[in-house]
Amino acid sequence: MTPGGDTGRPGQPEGGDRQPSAGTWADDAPRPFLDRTLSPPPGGSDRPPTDPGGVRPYLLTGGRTTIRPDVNVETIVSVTGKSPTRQLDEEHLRLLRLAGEPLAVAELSAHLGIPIGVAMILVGDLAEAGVVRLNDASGDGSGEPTQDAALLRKVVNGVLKLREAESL
Amino acid sequence: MKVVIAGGFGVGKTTLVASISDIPPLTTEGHMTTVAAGVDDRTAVQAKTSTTVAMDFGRARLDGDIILYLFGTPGQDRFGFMWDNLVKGALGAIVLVDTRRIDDCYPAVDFFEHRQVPFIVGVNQFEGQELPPLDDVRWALDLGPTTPIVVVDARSRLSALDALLTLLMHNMSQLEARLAEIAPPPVPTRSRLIGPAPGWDRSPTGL
Ligand SMILES: Nc1nc2c(ncn2[C@@H]2O[C@H](COP(=O)(O)OP(=O)(O)O)[C@@H](O)[C@H]2O)c(=O)[nH]1
Ligand SMILES: [Mg+2]
Repeated sequence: MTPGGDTGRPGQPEGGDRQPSAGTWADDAPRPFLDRTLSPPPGGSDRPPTDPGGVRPYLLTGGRTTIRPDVNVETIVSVTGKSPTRQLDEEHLRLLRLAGEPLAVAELSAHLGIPIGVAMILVGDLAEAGVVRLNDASGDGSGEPTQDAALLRKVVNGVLKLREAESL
Repeated sequence: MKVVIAGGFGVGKTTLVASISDIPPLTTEGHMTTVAAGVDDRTAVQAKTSTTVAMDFGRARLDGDIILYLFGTPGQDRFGFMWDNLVKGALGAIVLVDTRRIDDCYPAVDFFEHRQVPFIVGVNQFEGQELPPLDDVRWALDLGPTTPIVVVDARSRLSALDALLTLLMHNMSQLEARLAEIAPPPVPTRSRLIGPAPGWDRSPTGL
């Protein structure tokens, strides 16, 4: 399922039972208060931080495109100190050097200037080679929205504390 | 634990991540074209033609050794690979909206509703801008009655933390509703008080 599809909301592509209210609504006719400015968006900083230098990501991953299910953007990577059970490339070694301090995959990717998807594949290789340990940082470990009310409460309390410190 | 900050270009995602994060936001390249290329031919073509976008990353250490990870993403990623990974296990999402360019956030709203990821809408107020009534924003986004909408100043840590708390409380009430469904409490009217489970197939609101 692709997010959004090709049409905006309302007037969904699926579910034809959702009628836009007659005369007031069309994809290209926003409501008056939504009058869009024609000027370019402010900021516009969502550009890639690094130029991949023309190297296609698949070259970095040896043509592999599969991400292990236990590697996610916030998975914590730490070194095991074991010697690798498979051969590692230069990119692998760069990652490994950074992971001397446990870091999230997203952080490794940012520090090395490689796309996050590539970092996820390479980290999977490192885990397979036995040189890194992966820790699920997404709460209860299920990868699903947390069902753990106690854990959620802990997070709420933690954020409340930050808020208190800020409003003093 | 992670939270996703989504929204169109220039809406304040990086600013919001920075306001909450202990470290200056890191930027990483969000797309992974080769992954899409492995899926099927159609997505491969899409992947090649899609623009690369940056993803923000931040983290905040909370009491009790919990680290909250923050991911900012424009969410224009049609083939969905990175979105799937982002929402996997997420506590929820804050969708930032600039009411002058409100349709920028449709893909994000659609996606989170569809995937039943708890989310709230944060309306950013830019300099010299008068905000429309939040009910109008709710109507324009076709949001369900239980999805919170808040006004947020992404530059203010206090305001950003308030938005985060709104999301967490929303997640909590959804979780309670889910748990009540699994094990219905003895008083049958209770589940009605909690309200309907969020669904994307409900009729438009405010009409
Ligand atoms: N007035 C106001 N300006 C904001 C707010 N959030 C962000 N900005 C400004 O909007 C511009 C774009 O913000 P940025 O975080 O880079 O947007 P992004 O593209 O979504 O990451 C920056 O100049 C911010 O200072 C806000 O809540 N209020
Ligand atoms: Mg940004």
